[in-house]
Amino acid sequence: MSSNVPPRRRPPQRPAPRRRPARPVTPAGGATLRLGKPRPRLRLVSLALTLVMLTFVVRLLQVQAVDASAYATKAEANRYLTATLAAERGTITDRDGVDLANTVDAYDILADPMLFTAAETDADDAPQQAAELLAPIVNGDEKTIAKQLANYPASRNEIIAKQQSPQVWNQIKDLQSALADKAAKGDGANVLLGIFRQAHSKRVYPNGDLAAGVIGFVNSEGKGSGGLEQQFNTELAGKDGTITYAQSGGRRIPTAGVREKAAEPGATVELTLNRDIQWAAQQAITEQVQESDADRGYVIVQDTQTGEILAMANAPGYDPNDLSKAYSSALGNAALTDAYEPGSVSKLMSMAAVLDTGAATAATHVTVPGTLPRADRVFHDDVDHGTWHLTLNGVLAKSSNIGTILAAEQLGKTQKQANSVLYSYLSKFGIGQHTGLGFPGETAGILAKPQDWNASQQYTIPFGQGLSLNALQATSVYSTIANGGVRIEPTLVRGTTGADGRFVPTATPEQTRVVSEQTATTLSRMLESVVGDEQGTGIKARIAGYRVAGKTGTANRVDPETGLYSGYTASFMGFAPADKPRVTVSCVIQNPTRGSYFGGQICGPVFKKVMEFALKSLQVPPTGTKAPSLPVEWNPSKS
Amino acid sequence: MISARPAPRRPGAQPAARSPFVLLIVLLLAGGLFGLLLLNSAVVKDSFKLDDLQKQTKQLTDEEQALQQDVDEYSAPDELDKRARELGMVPGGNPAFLSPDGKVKGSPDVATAEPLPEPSETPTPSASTQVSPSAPVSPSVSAIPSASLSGSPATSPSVTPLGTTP
Repeated sequence: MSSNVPPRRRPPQRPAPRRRPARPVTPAGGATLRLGKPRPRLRLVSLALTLVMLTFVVRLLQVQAVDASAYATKAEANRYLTATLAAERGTITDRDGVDLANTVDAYDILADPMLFTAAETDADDAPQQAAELLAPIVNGDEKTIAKQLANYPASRNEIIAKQQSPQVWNQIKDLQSALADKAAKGDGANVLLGIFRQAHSKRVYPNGDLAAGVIGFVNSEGKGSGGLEQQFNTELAGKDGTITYAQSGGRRIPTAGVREKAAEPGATVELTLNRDIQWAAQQAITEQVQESDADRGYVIVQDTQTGEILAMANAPGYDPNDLSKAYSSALGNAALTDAYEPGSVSKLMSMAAVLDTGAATAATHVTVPGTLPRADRVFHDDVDHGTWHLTLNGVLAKSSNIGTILAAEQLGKTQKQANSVLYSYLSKFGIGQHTGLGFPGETAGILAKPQDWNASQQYTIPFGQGLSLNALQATSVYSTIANGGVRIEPTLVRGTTGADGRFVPTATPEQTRVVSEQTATTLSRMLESVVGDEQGTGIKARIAGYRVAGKTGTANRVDPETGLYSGYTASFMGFAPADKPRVTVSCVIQNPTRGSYFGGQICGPVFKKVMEFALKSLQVPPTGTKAPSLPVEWNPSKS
Repeated sequence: MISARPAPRRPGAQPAARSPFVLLIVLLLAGGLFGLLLLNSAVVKDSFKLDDLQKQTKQLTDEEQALQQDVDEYSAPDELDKRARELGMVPGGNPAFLSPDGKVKGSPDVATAEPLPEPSETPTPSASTQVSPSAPVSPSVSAIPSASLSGSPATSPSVTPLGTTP
C-alpha cells in the first residue's frame, strides 16, 4: 500500500496544504510535493476492506456453521478409513483339550498375467520360467501354472495356489527379491514380479480323518457346513471387529483419533470325545468294513454313567483337510444320519418290557417251536430247529425270534394291549425321537404308532424289524440298561469357552427312568449269557478277565435306493464290566458282502478291540467277580 | 503508523527495550518449531518401531503355528501308532491291572505282533447244541447253510422281513 500512498510526512516547511493545482514537475526534486486528499481514499479503502472482511465472515459462517456437517462428512469420507478385523474361528478340542480343529494363517497365491508378458518382463518365456520356479514351492502342476500365467489379456487375476502356509509365501518372496537383485545387475529378468498374496486363513484338522464325521468341515468361505462346525457355527465364528482411522496417502495419521472395535474371537468348543478311543474305534471299524467289503460301518463308545459320547467313528471316513478327494456319500456322520432296522439288538427292549411289567422272569420256561404261524405268515428262527426248551434268558442268549414273539405276546391280554405296552417301552428308550444332540441331519428313526402297526409288524417289531433307528439310539438303549435303567440323554459337547475365557458347560442332560433297577440288573445278567454262555451268540466279544454283557444282531437291511430288503445289517452292542458298567460300545456294519455277515462274527471282534482299548484308556480294572450263570435251557422231563 | 513522530517523552520514562521481546518471540517460535519437529520424528520413529514389532509378531505367530502343526502331526494317534510299530511295539491284548498289594486284576497274556487269532477259550460245540443259531460256537461257519434262513427276505424280497439272525 505504501507505494500508492503518498509519502507520509509533510514537508515541515509547508503550511497546511490547499487543493493543489496541477502538479508542477520539478526537475531537481527538492521542490514542492503536492498530495491528494487522504480522507476519501482512506474511506474507500476501509470500505473495500470491510467488504472483503464481510465476505470472509459470511463465507466462514457458511462453511463453519451452515454447511458444517456436510463438509465434515465429505472430509471424513476421504480421511477416515474403516477396515474389518476378521475374527479368528474358534477351536474344537477333545475332552482333554487336544485340538481337533483349529485355524492358521494362510495365503492365496495370486498372479497378474499382464506382468508375465514379454513386454513387461523382457523375457519371452516368462510364464514358463515362473511356473518352473513356482510349481515345486506350491506343490502344483507346472504346465497348469504356465498356462494360467500366459492367460493374458483374458485374465488379470489368476489363483495359482490356495491357502498356502506363510512359509511358502516367504519362499516366494525370497525368490522374488533374489531375482530382482539379479535383474538389477542386468542379469536375467524378474519373472516373479507379478505374484501376489492374499490373506485367506485356513481351517486345519491336525488329526486328518479322525472324528471327521462328528466335527464336520467348513466351506471355502470358512463357514461351517457340516457336522459340529455347522451346528456351532455362530459360536465358533466369533464377531468381526472394525477399525476406523484417519489416513493420508494410505498412511495412518498417528495423532488423529482411532476408533477400534476389537474382533471377538470364536469360542472354543470342547467335545466329549476322547481322541485315543476315537482313533481305536475308527481303526477297528475301518479295517472290518474293508475286510467285509461292506457299504459302511459305525462304532459308538458311550460313557454309561454320564451319557457322554467318547467316540463316534464312521467308515469309510474322509479327510476334512482335503474335501476334493472325499466321496460325497462319506461326508456325513452316518452313525447319526442313517436310519436302519436294528434286528436282534432290539430284542433287549422287548425283554426289558417283559421283565419290567412282570410278565415273565429270566427263568420263565419258553417252549419254542420250530416255526410259528402268526398273521399271514410263518415265522422262523435263523436256523431250523425242532422244539427248543429255553428259559427267557436262553431266548435272548440264542436270539430266538419265535421265543421273543411269544414273550412279547405276554405283555397284554390282547395283542393290541401288548402292542401298546411294547410301544410305550420303545418310546421310553428313545426310539422314534431325536437323541437331543441337535446334530445337523440327524434322523429320529421311524417308529409307527401301535394302532398303525400292520398285522406282521406287531410280530416283527419285538425282534427288531419293521422299525428303524440310528446307531446312537441303539447304543443309548444299552447304556440305559448299564446305568441301572435310567436313560441319560447322550451328549457330544462338554461346553464352550467364550472370548472372556469362561467355560460354559453344556446343560445337564435329561435323565429318565425307563425300567426298574431290578429289571436292569436282570437284563444285564441275561446279556452276559449272550457273551459268556457256550450257546450264546456273542462269544467273540469275550474279554479275558472281564465280565462283558452284550447282544448280537443280524438284521435284514432295507436297501436305501430300492426300498426293498437286500443284504444284512450286522451289529454288536454291549457294555463292560457287566456288574459295574463304565462304557458301552456299539458296532454296526451295513451290507457286509465278503465273508460272514453275522453280527457276532464281524462286529464281535470290533467290539472286543474297541472295548479293550477303552477299558485300558479309562483304566477300568476288572471287578474280579464271577458271572452267575443263568440257565439257558430247561428240561421238560423234570418239570 | 501514519502518525507523526513520537510524542515528547515524559521525564523519567526509559525507552522500551525492543530486543528482549523480539528475542522472546524468536525463541518461542524456534522452540515451537523444534518441539514440533521432535514430536514428529518421535511419532515416526514409534510408527517404525510398531511396524517392526508387528512384523516380528506376525513372523513369530507364523513360526509358532508351523511348529504347532508339526507337533500335532507327530502326536496324532495314527502317527504314534506307526512309529511305535516301527520300534517293534505291539498293541497290548487283555487289559490287566497290578494293584499296590501285588495282586493282578484281569488275565494278562503275552502281546504278540499279530493279535492271537481268537481267545483260547473258544468253546467246542457240545453234543447238546445240535442246532445252535450262533455261528461262532461252531468253528466251521459253513456248517450253517444259508438255505436255512428260510424266512429271510434276501430270498424273497417282499414286504416284511420274516426272520432275523442272531
